[in-house]
Amino acid sequence: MLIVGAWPYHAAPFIGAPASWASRGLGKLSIVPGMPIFNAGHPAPVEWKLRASCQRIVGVRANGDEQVLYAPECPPTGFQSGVDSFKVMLLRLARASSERQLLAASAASGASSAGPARRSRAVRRYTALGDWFCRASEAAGTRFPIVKLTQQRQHQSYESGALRASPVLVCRWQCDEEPAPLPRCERLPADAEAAIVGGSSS
Amino acid sequence: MNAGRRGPAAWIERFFGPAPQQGMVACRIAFGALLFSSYLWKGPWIEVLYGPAGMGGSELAARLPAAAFGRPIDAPFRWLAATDSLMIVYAAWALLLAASLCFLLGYRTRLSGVLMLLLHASFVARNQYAYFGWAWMAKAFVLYAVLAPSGRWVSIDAWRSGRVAESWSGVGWPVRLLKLHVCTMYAVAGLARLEDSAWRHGEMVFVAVSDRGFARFDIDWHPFAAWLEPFSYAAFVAEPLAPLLLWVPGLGAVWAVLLLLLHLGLELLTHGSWWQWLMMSALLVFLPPRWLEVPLGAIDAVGSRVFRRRSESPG
Repeated sequence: MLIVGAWPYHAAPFIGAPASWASRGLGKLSIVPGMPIFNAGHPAPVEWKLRASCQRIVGVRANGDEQVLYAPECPPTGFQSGVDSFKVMLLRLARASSERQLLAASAASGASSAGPARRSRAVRRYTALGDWFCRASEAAGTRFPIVKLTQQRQHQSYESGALRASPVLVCRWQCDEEPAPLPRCERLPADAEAAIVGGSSS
Repeated sequence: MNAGRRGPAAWIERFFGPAPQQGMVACRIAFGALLFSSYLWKGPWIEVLYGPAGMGGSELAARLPAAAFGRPIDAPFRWLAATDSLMIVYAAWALLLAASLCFLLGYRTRLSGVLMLLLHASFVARNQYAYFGWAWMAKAFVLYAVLAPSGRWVSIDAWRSGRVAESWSGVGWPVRLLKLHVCTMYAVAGLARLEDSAWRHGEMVFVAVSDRGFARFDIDWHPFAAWLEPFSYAAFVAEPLAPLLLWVPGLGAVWAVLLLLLHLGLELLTHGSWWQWLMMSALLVFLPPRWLEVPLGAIDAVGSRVFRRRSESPG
Protein backbone atom coordinates (compact mmCIF):
# COMPACT_ATOMS: atom_id res chain seq x y z
CA MET A 1 0.00 0.00 0.00
CA LEU A 2 2.89 2.36 0.73
CA ILE A 3 4.41 1.78 -2.68
CA VAL A 4 1.15 2.09 -4.59
CA GLY A 5 0.02 5.06 -2.52
CA ALA A 6 3.27 6.91 -3.23
CA TRP A 7 2.73 6.84 -6.96
CA PRO A 8 1.96 10.24 -8.54
CA TYR A 9 -1.46 9.09 -9.62
CA HIS A 10 -2.31 12.21 -11.58
CA ALA A 11 0.65 11.47 -13.86
CA ALA A 12 -0.27 7.84 -14.57
CA PRO A 13 -3.95 7.31 -15.29
CA PHE A 14 -3.90 3.50 -15.12
CA ILE A 15 -2.50 3.43 -11.62
CA GLY A 16 -4.37 6.54 -10.53
CA ALA A 17 -7.34 4.80 -8.94
CA PRO A 18 -5.34 2.14 -7.01
CA ALA A 19 -2.88 4.83 -5.87
CA SER A 20 -5.74 6.99 -4.63
CA TRP A 21 -7.39 4.07 -2.84
CA ALA A 22 -4.10 3.01 -1.22
CA SER A 23 -3.41 6.53 -0.11
CA ARG A 24 -6.89 6.94 1.35
CA GLY A 25 -6.74 3.53 3.01
CA LEU A 26 -3.48 4.39 4.71
CA GLY A 27 -4.97 7.73 5.62
CA LYS A 28 -7.59 5.94 7.72
CA LEU A 29 -4.67 4.79 9.86
CA SER A 30 -3.25 8.32 9.83
CA ILE A 31 -0.32 7.08 7.74
CA VAL A 32 0.93 8.98 4.71
CA PRO A 33 3.26 7.37 2.15
CA GLY A 34 5.05 10.67 1.73
CA MET A 35 4.64 14.42 1.50
CA PRO A 36 5.54 16.78 -1.34
CA ILE A 37 7.39 19.06 1.05
CA PHE A 38 9.72 21.88 0.28
CA ASN A 39 8.23 22.84 -3.03
CA ALA A 40 7.87 26.40 -4.23
CA GLY A 41 4.64 25.24 -5.83
CA HIS A 42 4.84 27.44 -8.88
CA PRO A 43 3.57 25.93 -12.14
CA ALA A 44 5.62 28.29 -14.32
CA PRO A 45 8.92 30.16 -13.89
CA VAL A 46 8.27 32.82 -11.29
CA GLU A 47 10.81 35.50 -10.60
CA TRP A 48 9.57 36.57 -7.19
CA LYS A 49 10.38 34.30 -4.25
CA LEU A 50 8.77 34.50 -0.82
CA ARG A 51 11.03 36.24 1.67
CA ALA A 52 8.76 36.82 4.63
CA SER A 53 5.18 36.38 5.79
CA CYS A 54 4.29 39.20 8.15
CA GLN A 55 1.45 39.39 10.62
CA ARG A 56 0.47 42.14 13.04
CA ILE A 57 -2.48 41.75 15.36
CA VAL A 58 -3.87 44.66 17.35
CA GLY A 59 -6.81 45.24 19.65
CA VAL A 60 -8.87 48.28 18.69
CA ARG A 61 -10.58 50.23 21.47
CA ALA A 62 -13.90 52.00 21.12
CA ASN A 63 -12.11 55.34 20.62
CA GLY A 64 -10.02 53.88 17.78
CA ASP A 65 -6.78 53.51 19.73
CA GLU A 66 -4.84 50.37 18.93
CA GLN A 67 -2.86 48.13 21.25
CA VAL A 68 -0.44 45.67 19.78
CA LEU A 69 -1.26 42.09 20.74
CA TYR A 70 1.14 40.25 18.47
CA ALA A 71 3.66 41.78 16.08
CA PRO A 72 6.97 39.99 15.63
CA GLU A 73 9.70 41.77 13.77
CA CYS A 74 9.17 41.25 10.08
CA PRO A 75 11.25 40.31 8.32
CA PRO A 76 13.20 39.16 11.36
CA THR A 77 16.76 40.46 11.59
CA GLY A 78 19.81 38.75 12.97
CA PHE A 79 20.39 35.09 13.67
CA GLN A 80 17.34 32.93 14.35
CA SER A 81 18.07 29.81 16.33
CA GLY A 82 14.51 28.59 15.97
CA VAL A 83 10.89 29.61 15.70
CA ASP A 84 8.67 29.41 18.76
CA SER A 85 5.64 27.14 18.52
CA PHE A 86 3.13 30.00 18.65
CA LYS A 87 4.72 31.61 15.62
CA VAL A 88 4.76 28.23 13.85
CA MET A 89 1.04 27.94 14.45
CA LEU A 90 0.22 31.42 13.12
CA LEU A 91 2.50 30.88 10.15
CA ARG A 92 0.81 27.57 9.37
CA LEU A 93 -2.64 29.09 9.74
CA ALA A 94 -1.76 31.91 7.37
CA ARG A 95 -0.06 29.75 4.77
CA ALA A 96 -2.76 27.07 4.88
CA SER A 97 -5.59 29.59 4.46
CA SER A 98 -6.67 30.94 1.14
CA GLU A 99 -6.89 34.73 1.06
CA ARG A 100 -9.32 34.35 -1.82
CA GLN A 101 -11.66 32.31 0.39
CA LEU A 102 -11.43 34.87 3.17
CA LEU A 103 -12.18 37.76 0.83
CA ALA A 104 -15.01 35.91 -0.87
CA ALA A 105 -16.57 34.98 2.45
CA SER A 106 -16.34 38.56 3.66
CA ALA A 107 -17.95 39.85 0.50
CA ALA A 108 -20.73 37.28 0.69
CA SER A 109 -21.58 37.51 4.38
CA GLY A 110 -22.01 41.26 4.73
CA ALA A 111 -23.64 41.80 8.10
CA SER A 112 -24.87 38.25 8.31
CA SER A 113 -23.00 35.76 10.45
CA ALA A 114 -24.72 32.68 9.08
CA GLY A 115 -24.54 30.59 5.92
CA PRO A 116 -21.75 29.73 3.51
CA ALA A 117 -19.30 32.20 5.09
CA ARG A 118 -18.77 29.76 7.93
CA ARG A 119 -18.11 26.74 5.78
CA SER A 120 -14.79 27.41 4.07
CA ARG A 121 -11.77 26.07 5.91
CA ALA A 122 -9.98 29.40 5.75
CA VAL A 123 -12.90 31.10 7.47
CA ARG A 124 -13.08 28.40 10.15
CA ARG A 125 -9.38 28.75 10.87
CA TYR A 126 -9.46 32.52 11.02
CA THR A 127 -12.55 32.43 13.21
CA ALA A 128 -10.54 30.40 15.72
CA LEU A 129 -7.66 32.85 15.39
CA GLY A 130 -9.73 35.95 16.01
CA ASP A 131 -11.77 34.31 18.75
CA TRP A 132 -8.63 33.39 20.67
CA PHE A 133 -7.19 36.90 20.55
CA CYS A 134 -10.52 38.37 21.61
CA ARG A 135 -10.88 36.04 24.58
CA ALA A 136 -7.22 36.00 25.58
CA SER A 137 -7.23 39.81 25.76
CA GLU A 138 -10.36 39.72 27.86
CA ALA A 139 -8.82 37.12 30.17
CA ALA A 140 -5.78 39.39 30.49
CA GLY A 141 -8.01 42.24 31.64
CA THR A 142 -8.69 44.28 28.49
CA ARG A 143 -11.79 43.80 26.41
CA PHE A 144 -11.51 45.04 22.87
CA PRO A 145 -14.58 45.58 20.67
CA ILE A 146 -12.49 44.74 17.61
CA VAL A 147 -9.35 42.74 16.92
CA LYS A 148 -7.55 43.48 13.68
CA LEU A 149 -5.02 41.45 11.73
CA THR A 150 -2.75 42.94 9.12
CA GLN A 151 -1.05 40.40 6.91
CA GLN A 152 1.42 40.92 4.11
CA ARG A 153 4.10 39.01 2.23
CA GLN A 154 7.46 40.26 1.07
CA HIS A 155 9.04 38.80 -2.05
CA GLN A 156 12.52 39.04 -3.51
CA SER A 157 13.40 38.90 -7.18
CA TYR A 158 15.67 36.01 -8.07
CA GLU A 159 17.01 37.98 -11.02
CA SER A 160 17.70 41.40 -9.50
CA GLY A 161 17.42 40.96 -5.74
CA ALA A 162 14.80 43.71 -5.55
CA LEU A 163 12.14 43.51 -2.85
CA ARG A 164 8.41 43.77 -3.34
CA ALA A 165 5.49 43.65 -0.91
CA SER A 166 2.16 42.01 -1.63
CA PRO A 167 -1.17 43.81 -1.16
CA VAL A 168 -2.12 43.98 2.49
CA LEU A 169 -4.83 41.72 3.83
CA VAL A 170 -6.71 43.28 6.72
CA CYS A 171 -9.13 41.16 8.73
CA ARG A 172 -11.32 42.40 11.55
CA TRP A 173 -13.25 40.48 14.17
CA GLN A 174 -16.12 41.89 16.23
CA CYS A 175 -15.33 40.33 19.57
CA ASP A 176 -18.89 40.42 20.88
CA GLU A 177 -20.31 38.58 17.86
CA GLU A 178 -22.11 35.37 18.77
CA PRO A 179 -21.45 32.49 18.80
CA ALA A 180 -17.93 33.39 17.60
CA PRO A 181 -16.44 36.34 15.69
CA LEU A 182 -16.19 35.82 11.95
CA PRO A 183 -13.26 37.33 10.05
CA ARG A 184 -14.19 40.16 7.74
CA CYS A 185 -11.32 40.80 5.39
CA GLU A 186 -10.39 43.28 2.71
CA ARG A 187 -7.39 43.79 0.53
CA LEU A 188 -5.51 47.08 0.44
CA PRO A 189 -2.67 48.27 -1.81
CA ALA A 190 0.85 47.29 -0.81
CA ASP A 191 1.70 50.87 0.15
CA ALA A 192 -1.39 51.35 2.29
CA GLU A 193 -0.96 52.94 5.69
CA ALA A 194 -1.44 49.54 7.26
CA ALA A 195 1.61 48.12 5.46
CA ILE A 196 3.86 46.31 7.87
CA VAL A 197 6.65 44.73 5.85
CA GLY A 198 10.00 46.36 6.40
CA GLY A 199 9.24 47.98 9.73
CA SER A 200 9.91 46.69 13.21
CA SER A 201 7.07 46.40 15.67
CA SER A 202 6.78 46.07 19.40
CA MET B 1 14.58 -20.24 5.19
CA ASN B 2 14.23 -22.50 2.15
CA ALA B 3 17.05 -21.47 -0.20
CA GLY B 4 15.41 -23.23 -3.11
CA ARG B 5 12.22 -21.16 -3.15
CA ARG B 6 11.81 -18.40 -5.71
CA GLY B 7 9.24 -15.79 -6.64
CA PRO B 8 6.66 -14.14 -4.38
CA ALA B 9 6.85 -16.84 -1.71
CA ALA B 10 10.57 -16.27 -1.35
CA TRP B 11 10.10 -12.49 -1.23
CA ILE B 12 7.51 -12.83 1.53
CA GLU B 13 9.72 -15.21 3.47
CA ARG B 14 12.64 -12.86 3.06
CA PHE B 15 10.57 -9.84 4.11
CA PHE B 16 9.51 -11.49 7.37
CA GLY B 17 12.89 -13.08 8.01
CA PRO B 18 15.43 -11.84 10.57
CA ALA B 19 17.45 -8.67 10.03
CA PRO B 20 20.25 -6.82 11.88
CA GLN B 21 18.75 -4.44 14.44
CA GLN B 22 21.56 -1.91 14.94
CA GLY B 23 19.78 0.60 12.70
CA MET B 24 16.49 0.19 14.50
CA VAL B 25 18.14 0.59 17.91
CA ALA B 26 19.74 3.80 16.68
CA CYS B 27 16.34 4.91 15.33
CA ARG B 28 14.73 4.17 18.69
CA ILE B 29 17.20 6.46 20.45
CA ALA B 30 16.90 9.14 17.76
CA PHE B 31 13.09 9.11 17.57
CA GLY B 32 12.79 9.23 21.36
CA ALA B 33 15.17 12.18 21.49
CA LEU B 34 13.29 13.92 18.67
CA LEU B 35 9.88 13.70 20.30
CA PHE B 36 11.25 14.58 23.72
CA SER B 37 12.99 17.66 22.35
CA SER B 38 10.11 18.83 20.19
CA TYR B 39 7.57 18.64 23.01
CA LEU B 40 9.95 20.20 25.51
CA TRP B 41 10.33 23.10 23.03
CA LYS B 42 6.55 23.52 23.10
CA GLY B 43 6.52 23.79 26.90
CA PRO B 44 5.88 27.55 27.17
CA TRP B 45 2.94 27.28 24.75
CA ILE B 46 1.01 24.26 26.02
CA GLU B 47 -1.98 26.27 27.20
CA VAL B 48 -2.28 28.26 23.98
CA LEU B 49 -1.68 25.37 21.61
CA TYR B 50 -3.59 22.58 23.34
CA GLY B 51 -5.63 23.97 26.25
CA PRO B 52 -9.43 24.13 26.34
CA ALA B 53 -9.20 27.91 26.06
CA GLY B 54 -6.38 27.66 23.53
CA MET B 55 -6.75 28.24 19.84
CA GLY B 56 -9.43 26.01 18.31
CA GLY B 57 -10.09 24.37 21.68
CA SER B 58 -13.11 22.89 23.42
CA GLU B 59 -14.35 26.27 24.65
CA LEU B 60 -14.70 27.44 21.06
CA ALA B 61 -16.08 24.06 19.99
CA ALA B 62 -18.85 24.41 22.58
CA ARG B 63 -19.96 27.64 20.88
CA LEU B 64 -19.08 26.88 17.27
CA PRO B 65 -18.10 23.24 16.59
CA ALA B 66 -17.16 23.94 12.97
CA ALA B 67 -14.36 26.30 14.00
CA ALA B 68 -12.61 23.84 16.28
CA PHE B 69 -9.30 22.48 15.04
CA GLY B 70 -9.18 18.88 13.99
CA ARG B 71 -9.50 16.68 10.97
CA PRO B 72 -12.03 13.85 10.67
CA ILE B 73 -9.17 11.43 10.05
CA ASP B 74 -7.82 12.10 13.54
CA ALA B 75 -11.16 11.37 15.20
CA PRO B 76 -9.94 8.39 17.31
CA PHE B 77 -7.33 10.65 18.92
CA ARG B 78 -9.40 13.76 19.57
CA TRP B 79 -9.98 13.18 23.28
CA LEU B 80 -7.63 16.07 24.14
CA ALA B 81 -9.78 18.37 22.04
CA ALA B 82 -12.86 17.36 24.03
CA THR B 83 -11.48 17.89 27.53
CA ASP B 84 -12.34 20.99 29.55
CA SER B 85 -9.46 20.49 31.95
CA LEU B 86 -6.14 22.24 31.45
CA MET B 87 -4.63 19.98 34.11
CA ILE B 88 -5.37 16.94 31.98
CA VAL B 89 -3.60 18.58 29.05
CA TYR B 90 -0.53 19.34 31.16
CA ALA B 91 -0.58 15.84 32.61
CA ALA B 92 -0.70 14.33 29.12
CA TRP B 93 2.22 16.53 28.08
CA ALA B 94 4.28 15.50 31.09
CA LEU B 95 3.43 11.85 30.44
CA LEU B 96 4.52 12.21 26.82
CA LEU B 97 7.86 13.71 27.88
CA ALA B 98 8.38 10.88 30.33
CA ALA B 99 7.39 8.23 27.81
CA SER B 100 9.69 9.61 25.12
CA LEU B 101 12.58 9.75 27.58
CA CYS B 102 11.90 6.14 28.60
CA PHE B 103 11.71 5.09 24.95
CA LEU B 104 15.01 6.81 24.21
CA LEU B 105 16.67 5.10 27.16
CA GLY B 106 14.98 1.78 26.50
CA TYR B 107 13.06 1.52 29.76
CA ARG B 108 9.89 -0.57 29.43
CA THR B 109 10.58 0.08 25.79
CA ARG B 110 7.48 -1.21 24.08
CA LEU B 111 5.07 0.22 26.67
CA SER B 112 6.76 3.62 26.68
CA GLY B 113 6.85 3.59 22.89
CA VAL B 114 3.14 2.85 22.59
CA LEU B 115 2.30 5.53 25.14
CA MET B 116 4.55 8.07 23.41
CA LEU B 117 2.98 7.32 20.04
CA LEU B 118 -0.62 7.52 21.28
CA LEU B 119 0.00 10.79 23.10
CA HIS B 120 1.83 12.31 20.13
CA ALA B 121 -1.10 11.35 17.88
CA SER B 122 -3.46 12.93 20.41
CA PHE B 123 -1.60 16.23 20.52
CA VAL B 124 -1.40 16.36 16.73
CA ALA B 125 -5.14 15.67 16.53
CA ARG B 126 -5.83 18.51 18.98
CA ASN B 127 -3.92 21.14 17.02
CA GLN B 128 -2.45 20.18 13.67
CA TYR B 129 -1.29 23.77 13.07
CA ALA B 130 1.28 23.52 15.81
CA TYR B 131 3.31 21.24 13.55
CA PHE B 132 4.69 20.96 10.12
CA GLY B 133 4.28 17.74 8.18
CA TRP B 134 7.01 15.91 10.08
CA ALA B 135 4.55 15.12 12.85
CA TRP B 136 2.46 12.93 10.52
CA MET B 137 5.45 11.09 9.04
CA ALA B 138 6.85 10.54 12.53
CA LYS B 139 3.80 8.53 13.58
CA ALA B 140 4.51 5.70 11.17
CA PHE B 141 8.29 5.82 11.60
CA VAL B 142 7.96 5.60 15.37
CA LEU B 143 5.40 2.80 15.04
CA TYR B 144 7.96 0.64 13.24
CA ALA B 145 10.55 1.30 15.97
CA VAL B 146 7.96 0.30 18.58
CA LEU B 147 7.07 -2.90 16.74
CA ALA B 148 10.72 -3.89 16.31
CA PRO B 149 12.60 -5.48 19.23
CA SER B 150 14.54 -2.22 19.58
CA GLY B 151 14.59 -2.43 23.37
CA ARG B 152 16.58 -5.64 23.42
CA TRP B 153 19.92 -3.87 22.97
CA VAL B 154 21.50 -0.72 24.40
CA SER B 155 18.64 -0.21 26.79
CA ILE B 156 17.88 0.02 30.46
CA ASP B 157 15.72 -3.09 30.01
CA ALA B 158 18.75 -5.05 28.83
CA TRP B 159 21.16 -3.63 31.42
CA ARG B 160 18.78 -4.29 34.31
CA SER B 161 18.17 -7.86 33.24
CA GLY B 162 21.90 -8.44 32.92
CA ARG B 163 21.36 -10.51 29.80
CA VAL B 164 23.70 -10.14 26.88
CA ALA B 165 22.14 -10.63 23.46
CA GLU B 166 23.95 -13.28 21.42
CA SER B 167 23.71 -11.29 18.22
CA TRP B 168 22.14 -8.18 16.74
CA SER B 169 19.63 -10.22 14.79
CA GLY B 170 15.90 -9.81 15.31
CA VAL B 171 12.56 -9.85 13.49
CA GLY B 172 13.12 -8.04 10.24
CA TRP B 173 9.79 -6.80 8.87
CA PRO B 174 9.63 -3.57 10.93
CA VAL B 175 13.12 -2.68 9.70
CA ARG B 176 12.17 -3.34 6.10
CA LEU B 177 8.90 -1.48 6.48
CA LEU B 178 10.72 1.57 7.82
CA LYS B 179 13.16 1.42 4.91
CA LEU B 180 10.26 1.14 2.46
CA HIS B 181 8.48 4.07 4.03
CA VAL B 182 11.59 6.27 3.95
CA CYS B 183 11.84 5.45 0.25
CA THR B 184 8.20 6.28 -0.47
CA MET B 185 8.71 9.59 1.35
CA TYR B 186 11.61 10.43 -0.95
CA ALA B 187 9.62 9.19 -3.94
CA VAL B 188 6.64 11.45 -3.21
CA ALA B 189 8.77 14.49 -2.39
CA GLY B 190 11.25 13.89 -5.19
CA LEU B 191 8.74 13.20 -7.95
CA ALA B 192 6.65 16.25 -7.03
CA ARG B 193 9.70 18.40 -7.60
CA LEU B 194 10.02 17.31 -11.21
CA GLU B 195 7.00 19.51 -11.90
CA ASP B 196 8.23 22.46 -9.84
CA SER B 197 9.91 25.16 -11.89
CA ALA B 198 11.96 26.51 -8.99
CA TRP B 199 13.54 23.07 -8.56
CA ARG B 200 14.10 22.63 -12.29
CA HIS B 201 15.84 26.01 -12.44
CA GLY B 202 18.06 25.24 -9.45
CA GLU B 203 16.53 28.00 -7.33
CA MET B 204 15.20 26.09 -4.33
CA VAL B 205 18.17 26.39 -1.99
CA PHE B 206 18.07 30.15 -2.59
CA VAL B 207 14.32 30.09 -1.84
CA ALA B 208 14.91 28.16 1.38
CA VAL B 209 17.72 30.29 2.78
CA SER B 210 16.02 33.55 1.73
CA ASP B 211 12.69 32.80 3.39
CA ARG B 212 13.08 34.68 6.66
CA GLY B 213 10.33 32.61 8.17
CA PHE B 214 12.74 29.68 8.26
CA ALA B 215 16.24 30.94 7.48
CA ARG B 216 18.63 31.10 10.40
CA PHE B 217 20.99 33.72 8.99
CA ASP B 218 20.03 37.26 8.07
CA ILE B 219 21.98 37.37 4.84
CA ASP B 220 21.01 38.75 1.45
CA TRP B 221 21.67 35.60 -0.58
CA HIS B 222 20.91 37.17 -3.92
CA PRO B 223 24.61 37.83 -4.84
CA PHE B 224 25.28 34.15 -4.14
CA ALA B 225 22.24 32.74 -5.96
CA ALA B 226 24.32 31.18 -8.74
CA TRP B 227 26.62 29.50 -6.18
CA LEU B 228 23.62 27.89 -4.54
CA GLU B 229 22.36 26.29 -7.75
CA PRO B 230 24.66 23.22 -7.65
CA PHE B 231 23.35 22.36 -4.18
CA SER B 232 19.81 22.72 -5.40
CA TYR B 233 20.47 20.40 -8.33
CA ALA B 234 22.25 17.92 -6.03
CA ALA B 235 19.12 17.64 -3.89
CA PHE B 236 16.96 17.57 -7.03
CA VAL B 237 18.82 14.44 -8.13
CA ALA B 238 19.59 12.77 -4.80
CA GLU B 239 16.07 12.51 -3.45
CA PRO B 240 14.13 11.05 -6.41
CA LEU B 241 16.94 8.48 -6.94
CA ALA B 242 17.02 7.53 -3.25
CA PRO B 243 14.18 4.94 -3.43
CA LEU B 244 16.30 2.94 -5.90
CA LEU B 245 19.88 3.58 -4.87
CA LEU B 246 19.47 3.16 -1.11
CA TRP B 247 18.92 -0.57 -1.74
CA VAL B 248 22.06 -1.11 -3.83
CA PRO B 249 24.77 -2.90 -1.81
CA GLY B 250 27.68 -0.56 -1.17
CA LEU B 251 26.20 2.39 -3.04
CA GLY B 252 23.22 2.51 -0.65
CA ALA B 253 25.44 3.45 2.29
CA VAL B 254 27.07 6.22 0.26
CA TRP B 255 23.66 7.54 -0.77
CA ALA B 256 22.46 7.45 2.82
CA VAL B 257 25.47 9.50 3.89
CA LEU B 258 24.83 11.93 1.01
CA LEU B 259 21.24 12.39 2.15
CA LEU B 260 22.33 12.76 5.77
CA LEU B 261 24.68 15.56 4.73
CA LEU B 262 21.92 17.17 2.67
CA HIS B 263 19.55 17.21 5.64
CA LEU B 264 22.29 18.38 8.00
CA GLY B 265 23.17 21.22 5.64
CA LEU B 266 19.54 22.31 5.49
CA GLU B 267 19.26 22.16 9.27
CA LEU B 268 22.34 24.36 9.67
CA LEU B 269 20.94 27.00 7.31
CA THR B 270 17.24 26.80 8.11
CA HIS B 271 15.04 25.74 10.99
CA GLY B 272 12.40 23.74 9.09
CA SER B 273 10.68 22.57 12.24
CA TRP B 274 11.91 19.02 12.97
CA TRP B 275 11.81 17.63 9.43
CA GLN B 276 15.54 17.35 8.94
CA TRP B 277 16.01 15.62 12.29
CA LEU B 278 13.26 13.13 11.49
CA MET B 279 14.74 12.20 8.12
CA MET B 280 18.29 12.00 9.51
CA SER B 281 17.00 9.70 12.26
CA ALA B 282 15.16 7.44 9.82
CA LEU B 283 18.17 7.26 7.47
CA LEU B 284 20.18 5.58 10.23
CA VAL B 285 18.46 2.33 9.29
CA PHE B 286 20.21 2.41 5.91
CA LEU B 287 23.72 2.73 7.33
CA PRO B 288 25.86 -0.42 7.49
CA PRO B 289 25.19 -2.11 10.85
CA ARG B 290 28.89 -2.33 11.70
CA TRP B 291 29.19 1.49 11.49
CA LEU B 292 26.53 1.84 14.17
CA GLU B 293 28.06 -0.78 16.44
CA VAL B 294 30.80 1.63 17.46
CA PRO B 295 28.63 4.36 19.02
CA LEU B 296 26.02 1.86 20.23
CA GLY B 297 28.71 -0.29 21.76
CA ALA B 298 30.15 2.69 23.60
CA ILE B 299 26.72 3.54 25.05
CA ASP B 300 26.16 -0.12 25.91
CA ALA B 301 29.50 -0.33 27.73
CA VAL B 302 28.68 2.69 29.88
CA GLY B 303 25.15 1.53 30.61
CA SER B 304 26.21 -1.99 31.48
CA ARG B 305 28.88 -0.67 33.84
CA VAL B 306 26.44 1.66 35.58
CA PHE B 307 23.84 -1.03 36.14
CA ARG B 308 26.41 -3.66 37.14
CA ARG B 309 27.75 -1.24 39.77
CA ARG B 310 24.24 -0.62 41.03
CA SER B 311 23.55 -4.33 41.34
CA GLU B 312 26.88 -4.95 43.07
CA SER B 313 26.73 -2.01 45.53
CA PRO B 314 25.81 -2.91 49.09
CA GLY B 315 22.21 -2.24 50.05
